[in-house]
Amino acid sequence: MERKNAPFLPDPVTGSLIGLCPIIAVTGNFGAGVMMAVGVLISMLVLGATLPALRSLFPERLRAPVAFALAASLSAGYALAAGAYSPSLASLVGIFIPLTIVNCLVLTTLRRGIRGDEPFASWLLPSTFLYFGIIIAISAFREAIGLGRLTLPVPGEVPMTLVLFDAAPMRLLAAPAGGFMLLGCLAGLYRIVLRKGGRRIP
Amino acid sequence: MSYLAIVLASVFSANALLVYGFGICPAFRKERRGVWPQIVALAIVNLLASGLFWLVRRFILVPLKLDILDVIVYAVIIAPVIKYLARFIASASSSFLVRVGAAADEAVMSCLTFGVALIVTRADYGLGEAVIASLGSCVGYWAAVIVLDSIRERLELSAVPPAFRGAPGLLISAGLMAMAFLGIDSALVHNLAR
Repeated sequence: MERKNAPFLPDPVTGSLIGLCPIIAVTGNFGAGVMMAVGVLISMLVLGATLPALRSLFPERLRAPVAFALAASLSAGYALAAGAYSPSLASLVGIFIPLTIVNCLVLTTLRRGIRGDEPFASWLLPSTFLYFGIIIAISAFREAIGLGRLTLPVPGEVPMTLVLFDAAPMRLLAAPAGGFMLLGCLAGLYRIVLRKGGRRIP
Repeated sequence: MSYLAIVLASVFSANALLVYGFGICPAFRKERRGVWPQIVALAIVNLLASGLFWLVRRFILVPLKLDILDVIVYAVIIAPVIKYLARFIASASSSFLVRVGAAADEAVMSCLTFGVALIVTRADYGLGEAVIASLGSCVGYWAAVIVLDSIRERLELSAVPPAFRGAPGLLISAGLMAMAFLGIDSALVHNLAR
């Protein structure tokens, strides 16, 4: 079978291993994971829509600071909205909402958008939605198998919890240590799938 | 809280890499040329970011009840100031300082620097405690990275399935290390440092 280097790795988490810090720390809780994923999704999509306009509005020296300030404003606005929607879930996500601005995936979007790399949209959309989906899938798996419950991202002071098992089946999975191990296993499986298709991580 | 307890907590029970996952993307990079300039750069950047952020938050944002805007202040004021300083250091004639400046320039925009600055300023710390905590986080991060680098070297010589060579095996090893760090909880650290 001919092996070739993958020219484009659409999966940012298990392939390129970027934007991992919120996945380790936040995805032990499904509600917090969804809140985090929506924050990154909004930031990425708004930045993706506005960065081409910024390129034509500002001179080259000002583009990076303006784009970074825009990302920070989005993150501050989302922190306020998340706190109003569900204070307890927002406190679980904690500093990881403001940290969206230095998420490696968001920074990559900023760099590509500022430089005007083509094709920007065809890179941005699959990466954003894959990242969104993976955060949600990992957080559902970690809380369901780790703690035997699912915290639903519903509005209000107290989040609604769906109990799946009487006892926590594998508490370690909800801890950061479990997050590292799960990501390692997923990254290994992704490489196995790529190898079966005759591709390798460059 | 004593300074020793803060340092022990930052290195073990609240390790930046193994508990919060800060700086995880650069930690898994294979190429690591010149560790000392990177360590010095991270210490300088963490110290400046946490110190400046603490001062701005405590004396400007909190009295004006604008602390929700701290992320914008970091992005618009603190990060550019530190970036400017990093470029000033990088313009020095010494090659060590050039590498420190280049590493500092990169570190300003990392989740490690901003995350640690956010944690120490939002905690109920004084300025001295915040600075000590940020330096402790830097020590804890590099301790974890150096241990992971040595694990990587062992893994390269071991019979690991091909798909799990490199980053996947290292992530699983980091999980085992994080599990060991779970045993050192903050209450134990406080009692030890009493």
